[in-house]
Amino acid sequence: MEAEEERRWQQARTPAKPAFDLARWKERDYAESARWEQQQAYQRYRQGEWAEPQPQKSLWQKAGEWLQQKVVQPVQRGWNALTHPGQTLENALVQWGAHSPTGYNVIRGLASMTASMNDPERNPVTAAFGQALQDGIAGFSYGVHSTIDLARRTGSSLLKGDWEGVRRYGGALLEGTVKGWIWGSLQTVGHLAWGAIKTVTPIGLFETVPAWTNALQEARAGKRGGWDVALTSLFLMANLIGIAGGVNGIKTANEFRTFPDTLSPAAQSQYISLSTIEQIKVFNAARSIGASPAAVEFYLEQTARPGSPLADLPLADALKVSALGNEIIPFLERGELAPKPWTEYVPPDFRENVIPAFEGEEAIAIKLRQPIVAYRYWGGGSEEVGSPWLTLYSHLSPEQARSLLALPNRNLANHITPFMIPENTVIAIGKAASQVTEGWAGPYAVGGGIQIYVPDPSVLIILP
Amino acid sequence: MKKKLIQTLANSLIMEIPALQRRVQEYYNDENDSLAVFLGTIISHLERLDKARLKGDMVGIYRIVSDAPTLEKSALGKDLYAFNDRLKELIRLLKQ
Repeated sequence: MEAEEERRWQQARTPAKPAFDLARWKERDYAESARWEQQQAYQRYRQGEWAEPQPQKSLWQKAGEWLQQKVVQPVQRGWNALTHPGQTLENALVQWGAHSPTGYNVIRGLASMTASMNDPERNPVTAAFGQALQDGIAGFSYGVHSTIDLARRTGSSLLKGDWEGVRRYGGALLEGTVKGWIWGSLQTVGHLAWGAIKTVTPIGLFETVPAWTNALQEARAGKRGGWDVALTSLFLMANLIGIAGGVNGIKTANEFRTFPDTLSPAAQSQYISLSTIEQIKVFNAARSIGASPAAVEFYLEQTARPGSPLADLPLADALKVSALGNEIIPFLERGELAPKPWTEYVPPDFRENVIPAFEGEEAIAIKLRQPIVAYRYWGGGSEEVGSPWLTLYSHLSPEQARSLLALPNRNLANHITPFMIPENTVIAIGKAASQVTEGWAGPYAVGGGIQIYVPDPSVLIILP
Repeated sequence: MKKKLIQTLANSLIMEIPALQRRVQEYYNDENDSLAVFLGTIISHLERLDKARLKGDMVGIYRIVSDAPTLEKSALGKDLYAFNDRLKELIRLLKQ
């Protein structure tokens, strides 16, 4: 190599002669090159002579070969199958289809259509995409391989005390690490971030729309395959979905930012004391169940107290319970949330009648661990015993009861009877829905009070 | 086909109401009983096929009958529930 360099250096120093015989120069140059190659071959030959005889294969080498044969090659085959799906599928389908002459032509047609994915003439986008993917993987594996190699050489030089080698390989390792890995990673992160920005903003449309229209036009002209149109459509769709997601994300982030403003100052400070993850959880749960600020305030206030029954409930359930306010706490202390959704405890024949009787068609099912007292307001066309409708309130006037519980017009609520609901009974508790526009109630029936539905009223025990 | 089915069901419910009203008046021995009056208002909702109002009526019939267990257990109560079941069926058809 040095001789060659020397030759070229000397040649460069030789001043050019004005009358230049190109043919003679070429002849001499070829002769020199041939002589140099001959010398190199001779040196390689002598090196072979000096080399020690090949030792018998070590256990490590045998293990390596076994690994190559049993693991690396099958993985490579699998990789080829993945990177050439069309070909692989075609081969597999044709083999399978060979058993059935009738199906053969259908399968062949399908297979050739699938194989067109790999046809660079017909599908430049898919081919370029695949090529980019392959290049990326190849580049990455080259980087890993050369880094390991340089690290090995640096270590080996260090052990041998070969400082020149340490300098050379270590320097290359350092350069490769800084330039290749750190700078390369930063660039990649930058590209990915820019790609993400483009995907979730209309900036991406400057690329995706022309790509899609071009693919469509060229497919019509027969220059491209359907897969190109499909792929560019996919990118365009991803871009549009990304934009919608981006808009939604900004909206949600804004809602999250202003969420504490909807709470009272005391609840705000309680909310702010939560970790960001907890804040996000409360915000999300409140948003998903449509919990009112009052419910969130009640939840925050209750869970700040040690031993609060709300703290043991899943967040969404706790917020639902919180919507019912203070009155629900004795029920939670004497019972637990029933395992199934509340509607499943309502007799199937009456579900459609009972569910709309609760505000927002929402209630919670509680299984009582201890008996509890509830009250029934009745009179006029309604009866004292055997009805499933009760409440927590014990001191309402007839007007208040009719209004808060949205009672039927024929229930005058001029009587109140306490009932004991025995343990192990599952009850549904929620707010009474407004019935102000209904013919069977009227403008008085505002609702919003806590009503209890006992699916099996025969369990109720009348109290003196 | 569905439209015809809805109309037939609505008409048959309208036809049933006067008899139910009369039975309620007899049961409570009251010409102006509020349940009988309420049943009368359902006729116009059925004629207009007003889905939202009919849903409210369906809830109302159950609230009234379940609030009066003696009525609930009587033959009239069972017929009112049967009427209510057919009302539910009509609402389901209207929702489709």
